[in-house]
Amino acid sequence: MIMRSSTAGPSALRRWAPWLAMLAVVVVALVAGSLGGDPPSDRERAQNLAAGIRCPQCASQSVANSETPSAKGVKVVIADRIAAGNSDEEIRDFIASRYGRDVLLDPAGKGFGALVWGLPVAGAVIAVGALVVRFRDWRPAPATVTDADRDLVADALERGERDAGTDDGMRV
Amino acid sequence: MTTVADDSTHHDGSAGAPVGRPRRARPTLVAAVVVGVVMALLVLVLATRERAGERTASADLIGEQAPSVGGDVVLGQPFDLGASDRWTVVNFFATWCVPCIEEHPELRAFAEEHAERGDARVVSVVYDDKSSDVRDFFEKNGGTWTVVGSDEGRTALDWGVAKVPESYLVSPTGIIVERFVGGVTRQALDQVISLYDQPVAITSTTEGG
Amino acid sequence: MNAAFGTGGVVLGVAGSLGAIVTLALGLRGNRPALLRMSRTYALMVLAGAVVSFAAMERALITRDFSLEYVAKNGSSATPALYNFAALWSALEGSILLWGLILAGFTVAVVWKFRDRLTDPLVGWALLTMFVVCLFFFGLMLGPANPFRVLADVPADGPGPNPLLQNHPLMAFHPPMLYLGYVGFTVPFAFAIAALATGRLGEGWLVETRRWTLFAWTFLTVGIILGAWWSHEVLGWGGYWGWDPVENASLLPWLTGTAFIHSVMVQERRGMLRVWNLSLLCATFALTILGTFLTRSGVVDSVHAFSNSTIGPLLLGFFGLIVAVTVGLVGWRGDRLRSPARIDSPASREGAFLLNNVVFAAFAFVVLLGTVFPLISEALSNERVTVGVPYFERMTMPIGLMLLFLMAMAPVLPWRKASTETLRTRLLWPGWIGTGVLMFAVLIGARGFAPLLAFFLAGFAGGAALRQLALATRRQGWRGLVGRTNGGMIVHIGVLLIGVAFAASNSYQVERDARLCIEATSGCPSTITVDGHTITYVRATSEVTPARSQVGGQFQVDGGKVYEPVLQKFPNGTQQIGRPSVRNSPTDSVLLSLTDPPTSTGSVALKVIVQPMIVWLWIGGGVMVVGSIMAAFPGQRRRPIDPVSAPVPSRDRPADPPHHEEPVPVGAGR
Repeated sequence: MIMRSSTAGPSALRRWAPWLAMLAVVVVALVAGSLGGDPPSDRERAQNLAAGIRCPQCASQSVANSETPSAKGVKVVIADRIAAGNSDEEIRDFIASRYGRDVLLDPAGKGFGALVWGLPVAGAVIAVGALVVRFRDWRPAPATVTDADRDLVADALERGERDAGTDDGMRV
Repeated sequence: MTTVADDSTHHDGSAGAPVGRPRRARPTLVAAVVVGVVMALLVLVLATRERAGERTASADLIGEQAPSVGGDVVLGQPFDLGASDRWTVVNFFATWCVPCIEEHPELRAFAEEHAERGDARVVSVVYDDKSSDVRDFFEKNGGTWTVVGSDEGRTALDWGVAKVPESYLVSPTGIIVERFVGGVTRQALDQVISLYDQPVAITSTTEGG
Repeated sequence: MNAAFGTGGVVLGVAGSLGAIVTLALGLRGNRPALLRMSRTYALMVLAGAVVSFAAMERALITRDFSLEYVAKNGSSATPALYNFAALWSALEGSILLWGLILAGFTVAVVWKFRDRLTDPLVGWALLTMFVVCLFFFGLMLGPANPFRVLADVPADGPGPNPLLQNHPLMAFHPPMLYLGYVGFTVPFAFAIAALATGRLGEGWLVETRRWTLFAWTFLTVGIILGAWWSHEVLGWGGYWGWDPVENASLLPWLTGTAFIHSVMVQERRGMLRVWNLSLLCATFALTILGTFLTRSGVVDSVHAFSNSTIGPLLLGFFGLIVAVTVGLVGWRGDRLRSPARIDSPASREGAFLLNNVVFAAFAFVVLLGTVFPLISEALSNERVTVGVPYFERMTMPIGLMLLFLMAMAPVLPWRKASTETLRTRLLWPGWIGTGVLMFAVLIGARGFAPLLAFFLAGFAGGAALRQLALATRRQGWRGLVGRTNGGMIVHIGVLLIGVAFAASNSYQVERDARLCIEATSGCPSTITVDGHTITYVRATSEVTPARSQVGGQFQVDGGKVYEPVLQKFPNGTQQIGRPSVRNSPTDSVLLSLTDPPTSTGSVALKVIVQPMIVWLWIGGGVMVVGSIMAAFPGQRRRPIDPVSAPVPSRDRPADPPHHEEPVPVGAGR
């Protein structure tokens, strides 16, 4: 593959044109794909709520995935309350008031449960921060060549020609 | 020597530490200690857990106003929890549930005794069962109290019931006083009632359970 | 008779392990090669014991010898032969027996592979570690997890394995594959401990153990994919991954294993990340033990959990021991063993692999935290929270997208440093392929920012992988498909297929509950249409065999084949187990499941779930396995010119003193 140097050849705009075009297409497609959409229908709301509530007598399945009597009861009540106009939050609070907060599969954003969301984010921030610091440590200091350096090199070259031996070249 | 960084002469990753001088930064040791402590704590937490076992719902309805008991009447007289002058035992059961079958004679004895005195009654709510099976069961095993249908599971949810048998004891003023998970005995019911049956009317209670 | 042989085998295993530990310890301490060579004998002894026990148990199961408590609980005269054979690993004690057999097999394999170097202390330490693990598992079988307990009253018949385990032949293969993966990670772990203990951290041992790790990783991948496939076919709600604690337990070592497979390349090329790689290997093995603890102790709620047992505390203790030893060794030795090399630029392949490791570590952290958080919350705040699917999905989505992005960038990044020029030219076509995939998805109606972004990145990454393969095959013909890099690209393509299928099937699933009647009436149709597929109720069925009784319904899908979901009842249980019927096609899967038995009046309650692209999950898994095999195939010969820390095979030499300076290896070729 022929690598062109960046100082010669067509202008920067011409070189990046295909990428800019691609970016434009991608953005348009993503926006088109994310916009619009009707508000969730009743059935979709019921499905979403059911997926977020644990079947009260099961280990960890949601009521959406369970056909036990208590799961069926929860689904019936969800349908009732959607029809009665309750919001998602109200429905979840009601069911939690009957079966305990741990019947909600989504740990609460407040209280102790918030830790399960916060810890990974904090961990990620720390890890990325540590990496950034590390990279800065790793960047070699710019080499400033002093006269003393030049003398040293001159001596070494001279010595080298004299001894016809080599420095230990394994040390980079 | 020169000022160019020449870390290849060093033994470890800490830049700038001259040869021979003891290293000061020991990041691996620090990391190892941190990980070790966190893991030790995790092991401690895991070691002190009990087996998860069977889940029972954890909502505490004790002390609250009793929810209504909806559903069609399967057996017995029409029923209204609100207007009452007596204690009520709200019992959730099913004919396929073995402990429910075992507690039935206890409920029967309790119902008959208090029916004479007129100070307590029983109402049963069906949990995921066929009405015909329930009627057959009561015909075979006796019991004349009201039995109400499951109302598609709504009643069980209102009372926080996920497994049967489960019973609630409701005071004459409509406050839930006690919850019995698993089978109930007539003695246990009588005991709780006698605790509360003072001349003073009960409006609400924060104790129990 | 079976019990006697079985217990004898276990005793032989314990004795062999114990003897090996003592002998190797003495040999290492006193530097006596003769003792070190005896590890061969002990390994064969342990294997013999394991084989005898395994054979005894299978014989008991197949001949329905109900005098053994394990057979009485898990075998049955009515169960078909395959399931009876597989019943060995369907419950706790038997699964430990299978673990022991595989572990013994790996120990012998290590002894054989290193047969010319048994006197090398590095190998000696590794084998010592493996024998300690053997001792633990065989010891479990002597005491709390004894599969050969004899019953005083011999029952006439047994209840058979759990009904859910008799539903599908895949269940018979899933555990052995998983265990080959789990146990396989013992070998690299043993070598990691050996490297830390001897201080010899050169690249020699690394190349050796890399193949073992890849081998174990491949089997773990297969086990996880089979588990997901089985879940989808057998559970009635179309799910294949529920972020269940047991599933997470199998995913955790896979994540750290994958991180290792990538970062080990940095170690081979630049000599960096040595201590980190060692830690990864130790963490992978520790996670397999932690996972085993979680699934067998009963402390977490799970549909998969084995029935209660007393080995929980022992497994936890073993986990604690592993962590303590690892942390101790790394803390003691780690700083002296770290390499002096450094990464020049984040925009380089090393930088990408480093970021890859960070992302996988974050992934593992999230999964572990979510799994144990209910326990922690209960311990610290006395309130129990449930951490379910919504948490995992929301947390792993950005991580997944990040991984897709890295898969797109990394194959084109050169080592050491990349210029914008390089990236600009090399990534152009992959970028357009990604754009094409995105446009196609939007045009066929896919919506939602996250799935669409995932499709774009997956197409991009696929393009990068295909570009690498195209270049390699152009240069080398068919050899361009084998070798580490190329095989790795094929594995990536498999992962991308899985990623796209995962996003599509999760985001675009359509589900419907309906009541159908054979004769259509008002309010009860005989045909419904779900997401473009027509389902017609044909008739009800019922069948009774000695093993089970079932009722079901036959449904014609899209006017073609007839599918029969059933509800089964087994003699040992009172509840009905549903078994769905799935119609797979390249574009989507139609899952039919009965929610209630068919009534005598000709109606039935049916649940229909249509999910796009399900088969691509399994196809992607297959591609991953093919890629792994290609990667293991030796590619362009690399002549190692850097010194290795293990002695050359023909000479028996005492251990090298730990050296603190190692030249940065400059590898030949790629």
